[in-house]
Amino acid sequence: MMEWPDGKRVAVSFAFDVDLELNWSESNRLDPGHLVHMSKGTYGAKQGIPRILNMLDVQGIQATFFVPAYNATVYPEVIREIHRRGHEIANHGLHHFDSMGDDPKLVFEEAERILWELCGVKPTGFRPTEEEFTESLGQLMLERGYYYTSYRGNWDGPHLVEIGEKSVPLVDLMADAFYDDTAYDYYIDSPPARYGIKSAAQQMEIWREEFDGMAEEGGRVMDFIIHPQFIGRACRVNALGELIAYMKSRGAWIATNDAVARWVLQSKGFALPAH
Amino acid sequence: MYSLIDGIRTGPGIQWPDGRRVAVMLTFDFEAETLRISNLARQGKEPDEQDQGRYGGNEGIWRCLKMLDTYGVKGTFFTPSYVLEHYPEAAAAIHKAGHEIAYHGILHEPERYNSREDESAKMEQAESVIERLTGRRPAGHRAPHSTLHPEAFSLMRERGYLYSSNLRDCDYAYLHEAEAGESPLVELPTDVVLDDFTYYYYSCAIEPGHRIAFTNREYINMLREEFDGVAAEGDKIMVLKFHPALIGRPGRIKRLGDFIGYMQQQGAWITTCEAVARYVLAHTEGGHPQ
Repeated sequence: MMEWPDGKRVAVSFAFDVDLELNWSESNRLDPGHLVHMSKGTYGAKQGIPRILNMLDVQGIQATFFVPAYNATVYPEVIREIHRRGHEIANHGLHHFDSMGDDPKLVFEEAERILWELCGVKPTGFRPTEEEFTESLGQLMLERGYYYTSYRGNWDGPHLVEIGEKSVPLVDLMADAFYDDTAYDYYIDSPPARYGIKSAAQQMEIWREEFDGMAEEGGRVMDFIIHPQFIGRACRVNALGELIAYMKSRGAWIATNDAVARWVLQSKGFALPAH
Repeated sequence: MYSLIDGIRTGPGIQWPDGRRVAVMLTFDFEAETLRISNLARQGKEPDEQDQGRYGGNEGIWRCLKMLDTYGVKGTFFTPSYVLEHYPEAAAAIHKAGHEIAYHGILHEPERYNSREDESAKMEQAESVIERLTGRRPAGHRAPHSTLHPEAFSLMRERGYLYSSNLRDCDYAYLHEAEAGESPLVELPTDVVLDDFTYYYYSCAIEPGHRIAFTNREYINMLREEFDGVAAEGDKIMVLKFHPALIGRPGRIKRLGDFIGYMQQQGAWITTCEAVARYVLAHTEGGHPQ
């Protein structure tokens, strides 16, 4: 069983997907000319992120922000502010729903260049979107100095990615839809419709009960997939802050994806890539 | 106003009259049967379930008006002109009670790929019906089905609108960016979570069927969570959306009344969209609060 720093019971990572308008324009499911839907994406940058950053400051924790690099060119001040407040900026591709195309290396190079020029960061993690994770993509990540990903729900993490049936120093923090806020707070009122919605209190109750179970078992990691345009409403940010306080009081190690992945690799005797 | 997107500021810092905590607008999309018709038309289907919509014009609207009167508050009624013409007693009662009537299409039209000229002609026809009833053109615009024509903002300016209540990009009122010489246009954003449609619309004819049943308590609790969150921030608005055919049932309207009483007690400024838009305009210089 994985042992966490200072005898903590469970590692918890809050990882935000900064998809914004790309959620509505690039999915091929909806119409990019739908101004009202697009404005919902804007809500994430304009309203959600400032609130979330304030709440994270109050709770004194660092989070991870997976940024499609295109959005860093649209909202450079917002992304720089996330970085300035001490949070991790990680790779989420260029255009979110774009596939990696014929040459994923080109997508990685372009995304890394944009994030480097904006914030001077070199991401250590990549969260894939629609495309399936392949061994060649894992190999590419290793070659480019990445040491974690977060995309699957087939195990409770942490788990090492296997390439050629051999574990490699690439940590999968796991990210089931259970930890995705859109399972609870994403409603579209026009086709293709999605009608599920829960109150902030119900959403946090579901996650709190899961946390209690994970903390009891020990050695687990919870990695959230949360979207500023949905969870960024005042009541949901407040409720998330309360959940974080609850977790802190019950033995959670709350850290960035990067910090959790580094700990896992070191615990398993792998050397970390130099940065 | 784009300059406000800096990752730091959560709002414009505007102060509401008399130290109120949040500006709340009770808006009624009074569509009667036109919502049912247009919702199915979007899916290429023939009209169905019209009686569920007519309930709003026959029964629901009167309960809404009575409840507003009980709590001494004014609402804003985004009403397709067809509804004003086909429910003349209700239309007159809304106006006579001092509520605002604003633009919401003629028949709650779902299309947005018509020409600028056709869109403008549609607005003209709907506005003239409102003018015959109230003596003036509407100050506010809400597109049917939350579906804006690509030229909508330009047309609103051209046609003398004061505000738009369409977008979902933040929880505060702001001015749309304007070219030199353009008239100001206030945005009063809203959201699906503030819309009774999300909780109460029941339709078997639409695909996929919209058949979620929320209890009144769950619905009001969602609104209260939102209200408490934005009221604590101080510079926000809350544009609640109701449909008389949905909220206008006796059990529901009673619970909404209770909630309005709660908001009043908690320091909400409850007024019409036009009143908030005028206040925001008077207290905003160059897109930022004075």
